[in-house]
Amino acid sequence: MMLIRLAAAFLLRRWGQALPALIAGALGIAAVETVLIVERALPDAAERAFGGVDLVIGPKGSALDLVLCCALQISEPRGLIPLEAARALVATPAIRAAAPIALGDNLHGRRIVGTTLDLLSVYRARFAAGGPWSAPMQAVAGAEAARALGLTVGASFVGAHGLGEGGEEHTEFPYRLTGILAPTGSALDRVLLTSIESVWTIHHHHEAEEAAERGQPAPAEAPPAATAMLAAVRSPVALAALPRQIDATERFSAAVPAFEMARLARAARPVITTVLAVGLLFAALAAATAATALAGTVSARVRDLALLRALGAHPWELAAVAAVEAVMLAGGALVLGLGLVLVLAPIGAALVAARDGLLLDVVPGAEDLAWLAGGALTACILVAMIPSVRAARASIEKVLTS
Amino acid sequence: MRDAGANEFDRAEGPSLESEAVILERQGRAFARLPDLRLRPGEAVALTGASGSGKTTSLLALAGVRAPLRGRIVIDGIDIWSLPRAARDRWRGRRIGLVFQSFHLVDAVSVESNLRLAASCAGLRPSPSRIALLLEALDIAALRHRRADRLSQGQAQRVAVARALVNQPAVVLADEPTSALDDGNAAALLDLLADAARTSGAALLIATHDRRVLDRVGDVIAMAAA
Repeated sequence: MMLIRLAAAFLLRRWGQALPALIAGALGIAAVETVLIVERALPDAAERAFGGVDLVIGPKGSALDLVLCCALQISEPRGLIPLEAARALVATPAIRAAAPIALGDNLHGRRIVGTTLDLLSVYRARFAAGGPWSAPMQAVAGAEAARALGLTVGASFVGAHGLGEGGEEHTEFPYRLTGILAPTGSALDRVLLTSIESVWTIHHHHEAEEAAERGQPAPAEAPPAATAMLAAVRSPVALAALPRQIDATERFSAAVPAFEMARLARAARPVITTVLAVGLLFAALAAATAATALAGTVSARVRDLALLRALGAHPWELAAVAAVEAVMLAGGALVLGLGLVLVLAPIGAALVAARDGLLLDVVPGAEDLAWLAGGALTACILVAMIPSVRAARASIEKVLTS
Repeated sequence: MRDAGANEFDRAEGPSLESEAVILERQGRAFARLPDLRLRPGEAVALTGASGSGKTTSLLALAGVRAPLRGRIVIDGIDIWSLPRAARDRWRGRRIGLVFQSFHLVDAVSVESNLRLAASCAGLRPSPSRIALLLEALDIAALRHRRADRLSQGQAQRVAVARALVNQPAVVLADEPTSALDDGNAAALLDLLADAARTSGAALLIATHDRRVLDRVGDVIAMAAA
C-alpha cells in the first residue's frame, strides 16, 4: 500500500513529466480503439442497413453504386430499368419477396421512395402506427424519418424534386401519411414510402410542366420504369447463380450487398491498416514518452530511492515503485483514452447516422478492452524495466554523503 | 509483519553497537582506523577527528553501507557485514536510525508518511501510536500532514530525528547534525537527539568535529590513522 502511495506521490510531484506520457498514451489508445471499433462496426452497420435486401437489380453499371444507391440509400441513381422485364427476372421460386423502387423526390432531404407494399415483405417491416397506403398520394414513413421530420399519422406533406434539399416542391400533389413503420435498423428507417404510381404521376406532371415552359407538347407517358428492384431470396444458395444470370442479360445488372460490402472492406483494408498503424505509432510514441518520463523521474529520484534502501527497502521494492508508477500511467492512459472514445465515438456515430444512415455500434467490446489493457500494461512494464533496474542499483553511499 | 514499536521485545542482551579493529579504506587503500567501540543502550558518544579523517566513512561502515577493509561491526548482536546486501539493508532499517547532515527526507510525501515509510521500508507495520508519540515529543504533531519539502530547516531536523527513532532502533548514527546550525539550534538539536535516543533506549553515536557537540557529549573518541 505504501508503495502505491509513494508511486502516486512521485508521479504527482513530477506531473509535468508524467502528463505528456499520459496524453500520448491516451491518444494512442483512443486511436487504436477507434480503428478497432470502426473495423468491427462498419460491416455490422452495413449489414443492418441492408435489412432483408439480398439482391439489387438495376441498370448496367457499377454493382457497388447500385448497392450504395438502392440498398443503403446513400448515393445517386444511375438510370432506370423497365419494370415489367425486371419483374420477370424475379418471378422465380428462389426469390422470397421483391419490390421495385423509384427514386426522385425528397422531403427535407429524406428520400421519398415509390414502391409496392411488397417492399415491406422484403424488409420484414411492421407498422408502429397506422397502416399501409391504399390509394395514390398516401405515404408511410420509416421510424427515423418520422422522428426526424416530426410526422404523425394523418399528417400532410409536400415532396420536393430531387434527392437533396432545395428542389422544386410538388405543391399540387400533397401526400397524407397513413402509417409509421417500427424501427428495423435498416435504410428503410430513413425514408418515406409511397406507391410507385404516385411517383410516376408526379414526375409525368413535372415533365409536362417543363415541356409547357419550353412551349413543347407534353411528352407521352413512358412505359413503367423503376430505379431498381430490391429482392430477398429464400436461400443464400440462390445468390450463387442468380446474379450471374441477371448480369448476362443485356439491360440489367445484379448486385449482392453482402458481396459488395466484403469487396469494399477488402478495398478499404489498406486505409484501415494505415489508420491502425498511425494508432500504434501513437501508442509507441506514448511508450517512448512514458519511458523518457519514467527515466527522467527515476533520475530525479535516485536520491529518494537510495534513501529508501538506506531505510531498509529491498531492491525489488524500489523496482516495484517504478513499476507501480508505470502501471498507474498505463491505467491513467487507458481510462483517459477509453473516456475519449466513449465521449467522441457516439458523436461520430451520430454524424455518420445522420449523413449516411449507418447505425454504428461504437461501444468498446470486452475483447478490445482486454487487448488494450494487456497491451498498455505490457508496454508500461517493459518501459519500467530500465528505470526499475536503475532504482534497484541506486547507490546509498552517494546519497548519504551528498 | 511486526509492528514498528515491537523491536524492543527481541533486542539482544549486551551492547547495542560493538566494533573491533575496523580499518577503513579509500580507493582500495587503508586510510583510517575506527577506535574500538562498545556502546550500551542509552549511551551517547561523539566520534571526532579532522575533516577527511574518516568520520563519515566510519558511520557508513557502521551502518552497513560501505564495507571496511577489515574488522568486525556488530549491531544489536549481529555482525552486519556477514549479512547479504538485502538482509543488511533490512537490518539497518530495523536496528539503526540514521540522522543525516542534510536530513534526506522524502520530499514528495508528508511528515507522517516519511515516518510510516521508514517502518514500511524496514518491513515493519507502521505503529500509529509510536508515530503520534514521536511527533508529540518532538513538537511537530501539527505538521504531520505537511509535505516534507515545505518544512523549515528546524522542522525538517525534528522530522529526521523522529524518523530515525520510529522503529525503536538499537543504534542512532548521526553525521554532523549541527554543522549548519547556530549555537541555539545546535544545542536544541543535541538535547533533542540525546533525549529521544535515551528514551527509546538507543545508543547514540555522533560523528562531528563541532566543538559545541564535543562539549555537550560526555564521551568523545577520536579517529586514528590506519
